[in-house]
Amino acid sequence: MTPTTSDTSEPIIRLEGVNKWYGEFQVLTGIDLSVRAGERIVICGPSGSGKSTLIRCINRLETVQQGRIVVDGIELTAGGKNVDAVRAEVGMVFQQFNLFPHLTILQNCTLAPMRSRGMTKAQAEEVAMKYLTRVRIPEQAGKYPSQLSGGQQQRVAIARALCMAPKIMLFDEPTSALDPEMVKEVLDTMIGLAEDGMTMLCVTHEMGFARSVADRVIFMADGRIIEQAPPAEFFGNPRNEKTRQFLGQILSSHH
Amino acid sequence: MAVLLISLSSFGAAELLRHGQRWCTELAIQAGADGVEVRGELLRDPAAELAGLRGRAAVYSSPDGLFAPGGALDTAALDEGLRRAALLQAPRLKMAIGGFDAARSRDGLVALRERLAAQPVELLIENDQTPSAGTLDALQRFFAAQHAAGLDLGMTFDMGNWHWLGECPLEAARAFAPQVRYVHCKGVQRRPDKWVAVPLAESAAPWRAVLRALPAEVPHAIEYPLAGNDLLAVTQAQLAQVRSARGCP
Repeated sequence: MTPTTSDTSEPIIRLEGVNKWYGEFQVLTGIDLSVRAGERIVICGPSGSGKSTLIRCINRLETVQQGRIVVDGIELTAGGKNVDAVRAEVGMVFQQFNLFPHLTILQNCTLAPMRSRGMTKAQAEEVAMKYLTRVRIPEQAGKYPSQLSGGQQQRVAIARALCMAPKIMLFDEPTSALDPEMVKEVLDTMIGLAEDGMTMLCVTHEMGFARSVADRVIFMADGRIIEQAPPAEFFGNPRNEKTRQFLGQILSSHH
Repeated sequence: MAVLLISLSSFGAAELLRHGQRWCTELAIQAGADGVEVRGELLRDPAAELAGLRGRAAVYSSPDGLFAPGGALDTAALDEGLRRAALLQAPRLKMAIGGFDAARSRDGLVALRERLAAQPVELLIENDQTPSAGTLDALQRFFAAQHAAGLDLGMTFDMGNWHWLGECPLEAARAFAPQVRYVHCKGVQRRPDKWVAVPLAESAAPWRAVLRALPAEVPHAIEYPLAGNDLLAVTQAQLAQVRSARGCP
């Protein structure tokens, strides 16, 4: 469970020497990261530290100028030809849910499997209902996103991603747009996924989730990975001053 | 109990901003509420939303203090609150006292009396969660001063907010019952790091005793989180809970 490479199996995600700029501004600097299949990683850091950009590079919502990214054996930095293949393996859940407002919950969940996986409508609906049941809102299938709460919409977003049978799930601050009463229902859904062995990278400031679910916590600042460790070590003995400052702020703001 | 409302903040700030206060108002009415309290701090597009809520709101809640820091009457905040309440056709405006100071706010109370006399909206003063506008002492000083100035303001009694300030809600209920013209029903629980609002039935506070000490015939509003897979059913159940607690069918 440590970030070192004692496990000799090929990582499911590998980033080597990744650098990325927005114009003159370097948003990612020298990122090296290996993630094993089934590993649960929480990425935290101050606003603007590059954490969301980092995970968006893993399904090529963002491109990089330098370095190498390999996901499930697929080279992502070899032009754009592998994008569809990678996105079929990587599900993503966003802060603002990003459901199609004009489609029902069921249609939101069946669209991609029908288009990308070639499922029939009946097959796609069966799969969709399976995952809507798993996130505990099958009764909402016929409604539209605007009729659901934020917590329900985020659970739909998770179900929608699962309908594509991804090997990896990326979460970009999945609870930060929710009222406190709805955070738990989303985190519980994510914990269920983690318990089933899903490879997960989650950008979040929910440190309770990090403590209890993550195999490894990564702290980023100024576009760099500053520190990474299993949660007991990360929270109990942070080595870097920036990490200590960040944890001091975030833990006090939750108190 | 004449009227049971829902303070729209009960649906959660993020939910209210996402759905809009009109959507939440319709859900509240559908669930059986007699009306709603519109929240000024959670309007996305005040002009459009207030117009769309006209005739649906029993209370407009202003996020501003009635008195500015230093003790002067915040006439801009008061006028805006009254204007918005009138736009909504809401009979009540709810504000906290803000920076009221018994010595420095005397002229402001006179000005307040004159301003309120010229319009139909009833101003209700709420105990909030700040030391300057939420403690027993602060509010007793205010109500004594406003009485001396010839005013007869009523109070919005928030059952839960006292806990944030270490005050006893039962003592407060007994002290302010004659002034209370609106009740915010709110249960509380102490988490390791903070107080949180919860439904009455889950409250760690003596909420039944507090309710008994308050007038039953004034409007009451739910002001604690309403959330769940079936929000309509949750809202209906909580309305029934408050009605039952007040001895209503």
